[in-house]
Amino acid sequence: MSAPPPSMQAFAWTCRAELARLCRQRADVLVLAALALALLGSAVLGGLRARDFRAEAGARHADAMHAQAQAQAQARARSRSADAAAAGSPQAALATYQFARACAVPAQPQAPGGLSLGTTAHTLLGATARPTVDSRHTDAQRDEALGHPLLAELGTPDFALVVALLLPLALLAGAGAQVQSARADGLWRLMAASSQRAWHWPVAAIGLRWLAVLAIAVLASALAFALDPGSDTRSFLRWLMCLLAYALWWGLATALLALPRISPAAATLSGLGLWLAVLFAVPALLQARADARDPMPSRLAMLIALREAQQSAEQSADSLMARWYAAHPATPRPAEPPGWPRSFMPRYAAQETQVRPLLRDFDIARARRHADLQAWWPLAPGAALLMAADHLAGADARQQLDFQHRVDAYDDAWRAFFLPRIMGAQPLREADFDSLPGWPAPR
Amino acid sequence: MNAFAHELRLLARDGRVAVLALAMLALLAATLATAFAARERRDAERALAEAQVRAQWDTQGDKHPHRGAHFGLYALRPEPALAAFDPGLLPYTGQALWLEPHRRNLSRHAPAADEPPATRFGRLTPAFALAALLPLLVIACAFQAVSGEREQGTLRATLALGLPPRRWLAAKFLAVMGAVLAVVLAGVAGALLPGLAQGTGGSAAVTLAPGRVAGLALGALLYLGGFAALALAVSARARQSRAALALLLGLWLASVFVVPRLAAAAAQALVPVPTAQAFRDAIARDHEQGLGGDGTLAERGARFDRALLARHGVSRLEDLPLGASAARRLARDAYADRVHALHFDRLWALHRRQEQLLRLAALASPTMAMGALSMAMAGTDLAHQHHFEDAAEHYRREVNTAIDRWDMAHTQGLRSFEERYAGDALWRSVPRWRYAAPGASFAWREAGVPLALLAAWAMAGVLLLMRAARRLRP
Repeated sequence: MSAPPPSMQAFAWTCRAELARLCRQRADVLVLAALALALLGSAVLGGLRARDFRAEAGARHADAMHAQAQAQAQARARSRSADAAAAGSPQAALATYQFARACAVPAQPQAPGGLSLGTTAHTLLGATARPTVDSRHTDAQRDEALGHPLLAELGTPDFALVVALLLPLALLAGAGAQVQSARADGLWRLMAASSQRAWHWPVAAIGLRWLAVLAIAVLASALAFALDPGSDTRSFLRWLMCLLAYALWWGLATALLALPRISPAAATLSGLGLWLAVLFAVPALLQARADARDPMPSRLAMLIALREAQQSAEQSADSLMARWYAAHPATPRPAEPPGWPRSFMPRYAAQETQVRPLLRDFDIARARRHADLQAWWPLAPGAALLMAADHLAGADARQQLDFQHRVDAYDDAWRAFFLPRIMGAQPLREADFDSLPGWPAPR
Repeated sequence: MNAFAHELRLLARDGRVAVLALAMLALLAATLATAFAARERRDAERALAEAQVRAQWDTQGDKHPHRGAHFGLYALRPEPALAAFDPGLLPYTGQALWLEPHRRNLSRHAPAADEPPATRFGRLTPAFALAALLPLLVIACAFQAVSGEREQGTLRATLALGLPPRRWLAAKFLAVMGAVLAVVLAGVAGALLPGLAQGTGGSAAVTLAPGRVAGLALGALLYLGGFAALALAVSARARQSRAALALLLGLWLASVFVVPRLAAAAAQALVPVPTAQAFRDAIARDHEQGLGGDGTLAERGARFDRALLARHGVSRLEDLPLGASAARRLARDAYADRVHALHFDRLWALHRRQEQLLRLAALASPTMAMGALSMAMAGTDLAHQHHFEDAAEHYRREVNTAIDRWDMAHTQGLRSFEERYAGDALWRSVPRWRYAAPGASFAWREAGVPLALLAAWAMAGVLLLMRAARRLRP
């Protein structure tokens, strides 16, 4: 085997010397230790939160299945008892309605393997939807956040957020500051004079610190994924690719900041300024641009339109009911106009067809803006990393839109199953429970 | 005075400081101007929506009165003038509160749901610029004020001149504060001037809420003053400027980013709130089973019916000379309101306990104290939100009671829900929603603890600086 070229050997010696120096530098050790503490702590919290999230989703699913099983047992008992509600009676319609309004298995997103990276997006957008025969978006809205809003704003930051914030700081404070300090102390000149190539030492200094920071981030990521029972290798590897790209971006930025002949203090402040600009200012500018070019629909305007749909459906309740029975000749129509709940069902169905597009507009706009923002990732790598993390956690804008479409389809199937039975005042039979529209159990 | 002028000149000549100061000025002016303009647009949208909601209510047409009540109204919270400076919790508390019979709701449609992921780093608002970025300007002005002179050797000469260290450091402190305040005032003036003539934008906030603006200004002075004193004290003690800078930036990072988030995590873990499902289930359970010996819903209903029949000397609900369903609803909803009040009070007590933990953490993070004060003065903290929700709840009860009383007075016995005997006259007779936000004294009360913490922080900084002055060595 041929010997490595002299320049490679010299570079390796420089790296070994710099590694020994790194281990002796208190500032370097402190920065790396603080980073390790923060990232590992955040990884543990992220992994445990993912575990809790999955457990809660599983419990919600199990509770709903249990409620359905109980209702099935009650239906069986009622059908055998003497006071069973007769088909066609208002009591039968009411009993079927009460099951249909509240006993659906909740629709929950299948959180993929990257959930330990963050659950905030799931929490903000609501991770659960329960189909009903009522109006899901008006009277039957049950999506509330009870927590203190300040904790929602500060909150335990997601693991991906902590990485996005601290990794660049560690690089700038460690590698960037070291190189400029060495220049100010005359150490760089000495190293350059004693090295075969002048670039050996700064590359070794920045490269080794970059590797150390990346290694800590990778280790913490592995811990976060290991603690999440639903994680998978594919998501972990994809996250590592994103992490590598992010670290490369900031490594390059650190190296470029080391070039100008400025004082260590000026270099530190410049690095901090870059960090603030890239993580705060640039995303704010991009959001302002998105607001100007493709603003989100107005929530207040949506409320007004929603109420118009409600009022219009209520005014036309009688004609909607007549039309429903005309369109479903197989369903026996009562001799007298039925009261609640049958009088409400076609009205709610009509309302949902009008209201749903209003709400989808928000998901569609969010997905569009998300795609636009992704194109600017070289200028906003922090935002890009968070978007990648959201994607791996199953909660980016596109995935949310897909989830909402699936929920709408589930809602339609639930309504299609129950409306004929409620409008025909059919009590639920045992066999009905075996063909209920369902939603797969969350992982 | 000469020393102060000299120090100010030194700062002005420092290129780094000049660049940072200009950047900060531009940022402040831009964020203030755009924030106030955006807030005016949102306020106009809210006012229009409020009028449309009311118009929809007024023109419901002929309905059963209870069905009309279920159409509901929305209480839209007006955004305080200073919310543009610090939106506080508004992105998370929802824009609209639905007022319906039988059930008290929380605000919905939080703007945070529509924001991109990058806002999780932090919102670039004027309050963020004040609390997170201006301290960086202070640090940049002060970190090598003393250590730099020590490194250059001019400290020995300065001390040899006989200038008392305390007076010298005081001059530096005043120069740093002067520079920072000049940037702040220039930024604020730049943002307010365009609207001053029309009384719009930020100038409206100053004229409409002078008490709150004064509170903000006092808090900012204490906050930045504390940072300036601390930065100078560290510079006076540090042997090297870069060590002083590293320490100060570490403290800044801890105060702005680390401590607040750790404190929030601790508050969530130590004082958990119930899930929405558990909360609503508990309300439903207490309503169904009754509170403390009141009996179940069915028992209470039967007792009420018996009493009502006895009072009117009839034996059947159909024979009552008033609307029986409406009378029953009034009784049921009064009880439901008690149950809701109990559970909401418990929930808000949990929120207050969480806030107390956050206030405790503000001992280690003046930025948290500044944030709490800023939100209180801007009217965007939880206390102001609860004030609004309490007012909305009071209005909700008023509306539904008015409708049920009308129904009770205008009908007899039992009536079907399919009957449509209420019309636009009833809907229009319901009083309009008018919300009066609390005054400045409410904000000052809420800001009392954060203000005290900031005063303690400033005092601690000054004491450290005085101690550093006593021990100053070349």
